[in-house]
Amino acid sequence: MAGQLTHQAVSHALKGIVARVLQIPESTITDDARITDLSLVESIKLLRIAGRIERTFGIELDNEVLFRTGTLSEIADEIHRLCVQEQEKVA
Amino acid sequence: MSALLPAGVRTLGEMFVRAFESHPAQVVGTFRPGRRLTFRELVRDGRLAAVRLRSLGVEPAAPVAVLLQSPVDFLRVTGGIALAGAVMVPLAVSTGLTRAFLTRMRHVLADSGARFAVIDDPYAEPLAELVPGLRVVPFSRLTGPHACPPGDGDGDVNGDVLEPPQAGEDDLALIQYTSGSTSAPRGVALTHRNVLAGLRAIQRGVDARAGDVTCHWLPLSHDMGLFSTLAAIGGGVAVHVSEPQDFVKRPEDWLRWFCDLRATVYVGPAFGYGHLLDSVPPEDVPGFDLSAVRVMLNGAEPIAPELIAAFQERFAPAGLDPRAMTPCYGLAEATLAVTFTPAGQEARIDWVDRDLLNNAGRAEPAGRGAPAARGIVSCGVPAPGLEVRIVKDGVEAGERVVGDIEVRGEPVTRGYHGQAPLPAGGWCPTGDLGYLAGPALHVTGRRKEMIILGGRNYYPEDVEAGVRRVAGLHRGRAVAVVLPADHGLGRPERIAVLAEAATARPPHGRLVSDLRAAAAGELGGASVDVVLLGRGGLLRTTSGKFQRLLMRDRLLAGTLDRVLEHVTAEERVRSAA
Repeated sequence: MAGQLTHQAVSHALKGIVARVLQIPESTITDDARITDLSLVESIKLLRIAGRIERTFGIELDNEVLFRTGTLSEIADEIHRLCVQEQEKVA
Repeated sequence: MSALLPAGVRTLGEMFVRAFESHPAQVVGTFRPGRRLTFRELVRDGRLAAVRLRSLGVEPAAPVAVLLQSPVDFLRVTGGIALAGAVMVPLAVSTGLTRAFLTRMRHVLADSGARFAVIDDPYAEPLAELVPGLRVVPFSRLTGPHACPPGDGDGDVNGDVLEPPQAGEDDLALIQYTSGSTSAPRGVALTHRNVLAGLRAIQRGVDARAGDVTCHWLPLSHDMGLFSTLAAIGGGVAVHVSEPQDFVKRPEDWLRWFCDLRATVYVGPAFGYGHLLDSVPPEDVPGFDLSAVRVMLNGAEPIAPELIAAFQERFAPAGLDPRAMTPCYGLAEATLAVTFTPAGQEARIDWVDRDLLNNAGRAEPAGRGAPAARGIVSCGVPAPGLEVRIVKDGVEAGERVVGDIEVRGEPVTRGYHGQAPLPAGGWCPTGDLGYLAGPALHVTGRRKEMIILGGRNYYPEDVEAGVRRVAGLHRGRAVAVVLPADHGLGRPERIAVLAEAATARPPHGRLVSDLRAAAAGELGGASVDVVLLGRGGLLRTTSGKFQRLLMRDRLLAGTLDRVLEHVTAEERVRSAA
């Protein structure tokens, strides 16, 4: 239920999305990796990732979150924060 | 019945007015929010904007920078500037006023002489603070009811109050800054004559007809988006525009919208077709109806031959006509379009011997299945009023000889803003390489040092500006070069960053990660190859200039000295390592 969405669940789902769009094994995506550390990342793929994140989590993501040079863990933090915000709106 | 600009229209302002007079109920639509503006409303808003611009001090012939997100707002201001007799300088909006964006903007403002900038309201104040001396006009200032302080001349909503400007066909209409690097942008100066001739060329190229529906996702700050849209308006044709990210993030929703509109004309770069292939699986295709599509223009970047067949095969079950795919060639210097695959003809691929092409500069036909064959997609023949020639070693080259592509015609600029005009005779170098086979143009490469990603141009200098500030470099020494595509291996072209590391001893993971991230910041995310050299490893002339091309050639040959690490874009970087 709302509110029970853990950081870990977000992180796991995020890695799954990134793995599918970039077509790389999920195991190569670590929390401390930046998106740009991964293989053959380009803007259209980042936007695709952003789109899937938005659909999966029901949030609106500022593209900047992905383009900034944060780690996957930091991106998961941001998604989690937005989810909580979204749920608080509904409540 | 064809949908061409009426004869006798000589300026962009006249074009808007005639479009409204002849087709007042025709629409401009947007994807999000789903709204429509009639041509009547568009011109009404344009006239109001013109009055307001004039009252704010925009004189005829004054350049005005435009940075607006919404396509409809952009068009209202385009009309307004045209009706005020001023000159439009479109700029791409970025997500936020980043350092890179502001740097480019400052250079464009300085080069164009623009003292006014129209921008979306939320960015108006921040921009004004960051660029002192610039007269920033929030968009809301130009349209809609607005209480103005006295003396600011609100003007009447009725366009009759505005004196029609004395702008003539040979006055400047626009300065297009899609060429040139961030620090040295080049403004393509286009007169009303250039633009209207360019719009006619597009209309002829797509065989524009009454009842057409044009639909695309291109930004209007870019030549392809802007002039396709103006060509539709000028011909009285409905046009629907989304923002690029709507297409990229929600491709199936976007395609649904496109099909529901019964769109007949689409325009976009090759990567857009690739994106649809990646996003719409075969099982979903029968749910879409593309049978209304007559023309899908494909230009702005090289087209891989496999894409043509793959796209047709995937979307045939949606009723897509195999003749719809229309490879074309154009550039900002020619307003937009130069050549088109003839209407009603399927896209053609010329299979040539790769070795003779690369080593002898000749395009000799080879059997399609031959191991050393390379397929070059034909970009078609010149539109009426345009001419193309190939120049090699200073003379016009013959059939199937590769050389520099040059273009000439009424839509072609007479020169870059503030620079010496093009030589008499009017031939404009394009910076692209290719050959003619009969009348058909085939583009094989580029002489300009730049890379095209997602239909947009990026320059090595821009990447250098980003990477030089990375910690861990020796004296900030880094250069960027373009590595050509390897068609045999299927490797696209890419940028490589060559940088001197402060310490030769590994690990270098963090530095490589930082360099790649900094470069990606300049390239909208794209990956680069990173080559780390020891201190003093970058080659320089006796006067201290970096020898980029020499280093690039040695890198490709494997003879570059002092290489500590070479991490290609495909590799996974371990920043902790």
